[in-house]
Amino acid sequence: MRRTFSKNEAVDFVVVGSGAAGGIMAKELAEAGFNVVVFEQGPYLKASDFRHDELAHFLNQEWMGGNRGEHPQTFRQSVDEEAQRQDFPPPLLYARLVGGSSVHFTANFWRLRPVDFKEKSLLGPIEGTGFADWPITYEELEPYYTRVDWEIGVSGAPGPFDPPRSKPYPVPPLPVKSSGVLLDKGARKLGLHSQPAPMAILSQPHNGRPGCIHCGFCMLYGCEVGAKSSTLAAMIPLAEATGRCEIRAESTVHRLETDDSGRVRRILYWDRDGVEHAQEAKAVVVCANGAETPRILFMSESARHPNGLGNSSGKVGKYLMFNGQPAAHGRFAHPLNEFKSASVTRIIHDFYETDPKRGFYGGGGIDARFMPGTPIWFGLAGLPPDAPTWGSEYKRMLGEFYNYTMTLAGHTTSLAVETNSVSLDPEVKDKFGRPALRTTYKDHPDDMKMSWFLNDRSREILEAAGAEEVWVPEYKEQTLGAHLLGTCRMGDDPEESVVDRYHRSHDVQNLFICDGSSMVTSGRGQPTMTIMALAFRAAEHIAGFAKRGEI
Amino acid sequence: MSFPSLLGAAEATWKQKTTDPSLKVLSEAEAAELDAVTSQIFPSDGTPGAREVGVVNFIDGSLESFNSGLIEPVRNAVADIQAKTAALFPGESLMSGLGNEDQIAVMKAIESEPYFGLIRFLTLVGMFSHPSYGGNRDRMGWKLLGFDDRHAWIPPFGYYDAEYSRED
Repeated sequence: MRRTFSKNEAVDFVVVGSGAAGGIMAKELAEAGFNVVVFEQGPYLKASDFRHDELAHFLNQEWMGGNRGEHPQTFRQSVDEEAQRQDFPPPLLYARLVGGSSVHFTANFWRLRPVDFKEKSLLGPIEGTGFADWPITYEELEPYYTRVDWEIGVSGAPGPFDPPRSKPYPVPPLPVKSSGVLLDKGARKLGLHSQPAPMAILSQPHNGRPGCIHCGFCMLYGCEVGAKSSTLAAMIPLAEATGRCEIRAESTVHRLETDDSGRVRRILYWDRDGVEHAQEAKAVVVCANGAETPRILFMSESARHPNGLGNSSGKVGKYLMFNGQPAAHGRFAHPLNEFKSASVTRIIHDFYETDPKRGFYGGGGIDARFMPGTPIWFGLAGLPPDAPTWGSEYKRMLGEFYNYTMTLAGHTTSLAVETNSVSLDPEVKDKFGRPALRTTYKDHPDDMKMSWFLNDRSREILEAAGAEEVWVPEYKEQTLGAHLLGTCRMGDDPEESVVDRYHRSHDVQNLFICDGSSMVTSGRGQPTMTIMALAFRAAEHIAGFAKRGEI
Repeated sequence: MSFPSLLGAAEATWKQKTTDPSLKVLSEAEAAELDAVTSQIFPSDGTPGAREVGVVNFIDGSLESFNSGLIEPVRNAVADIQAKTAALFPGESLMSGLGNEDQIAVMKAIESEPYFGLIRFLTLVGMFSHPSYGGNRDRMGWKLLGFDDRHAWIPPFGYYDAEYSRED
């Protein structure tokens, strides 16, 4: 019997969003003894709902937003342009269901390193950007990274550039795939260091969940056995088991209302039929992702908060960072069969640090995978750019390439640029009549140079590994991102940040924000592990504040 | 059963289907035109093509349900294909009535048209989606790629990791 709470009695905590951060927040606060209602705009699915159905994914766009046409988005590169509709795919990619994007992610789990937190102190400011240090250090976050390893479930083995860790991995790495072996081979020839990829996918049973069955429908798909470490698999059941947590799914939070003292009091939301309701709460933790969180704050504007709730700094929605995503591909003589198993088994971090000798800011990593790897998508976009797109030769090439191809995917830093942002579109409305999400994004020149640099290295690695053919599609400025970072950044200075080092709003005492929007720098890709560590840490502090009457 | 005999059996079945009243949305002429276009995208040239795996059957079924919003664009595409056919081959009105070389000429005339991407996408989906949607008959589409869908796989997965696991 699932616990439900009355809307009219102020519950201890409302958590908005049940994804990478929200799922952890719900479980931690409920286990600490508090009553929690978690709002999730999407449905509450089970592992058995996830199917190997590529068509359904293109149709339903579950990993993009759940439905077509109901959530339009617009895109522009600069504030001088009018944003245009961008539907397929939209600029801001995230899933709508309990567990959020942690259900569908590729599961690459990279910790940030000490340098990521203090890089501005190391390198100095970068003109024209909001490049800044975090208000916390790697050492302060490390215990929570380790909790993610063990409680969410991360498989892996130590690598040559790893930051310090207080405990080993709970389970060994996933079995290596041919793409990993070839990255290994090419890397060794070039004096680079291939290591097992830390993945949020169990390689063997842990915490009562099974190990991966290598079904191959991994990136962009929910895991039908619960081996992929979404918060749906790892946290939500524990939250509900406390008897103090209600998951209120298909409920779209659109506004937070404050009382005369300036505290958040009521959460307004639409149920699955579009009927509006209000939930009373003593405190709110917003974990809705780097796009939805700023939208809720903008939609919660009032006389006291004319630019949006908690936006005295003016930084809500700003400093959006996507990470760069360059890619190079190679075809080999023998079959790799990359369509099987999880996406990534080997990575290299030799280019992680910024090297001033390169002449630009930035660092990154490269992983070995196969993308696009599912049949329809491969038919659409998997062959080299100069290949025919129809006819006998096209058909022959599909068969000659599909099982013989791998991808080296680069992941880079993105600089914090104030004009890169999430905002409300002045014209386009969503199905509820709300302003649509508008993205303004133009990669910093250094971000582009870093991506091109990684693609050059990837080409060399593929050739060293013995690829018969290598192709590197031109990497252009991004018009979409699945990593939604920076838009309500942490900081000690209320004029330069939205939340303090404990994720508390600088402006509203009982409002906390913890998700990808909290990140001050982008890391070298793969931010979900950091988002989860931040959530464990934030939950600990928030529970402490509540127990001591400091909210 | 070898591919050529599979092809022969499928072709016989398919020829039956085009006069079959089970076409749900498309007219016979529209189905024939789509059959011509999709069969040029995935020809039957020794291995199964769009015709054998049932791409037009898939498209027709999908237009009745989840792709109902595409009925008009698909019909407009077919109309333009017929117009291009008539322009290239005066006196001809159906691409499906042309020989192979002439059909390829029509393909070259339409491949830059805005609707070509839609037709190609529908063909790919008909080739490679789960057979329960009416295409990819007997998984023949997946077999062209060397793909298969199973609940679970066991390592080694491919040549290079198998070789690696045998090395000392």
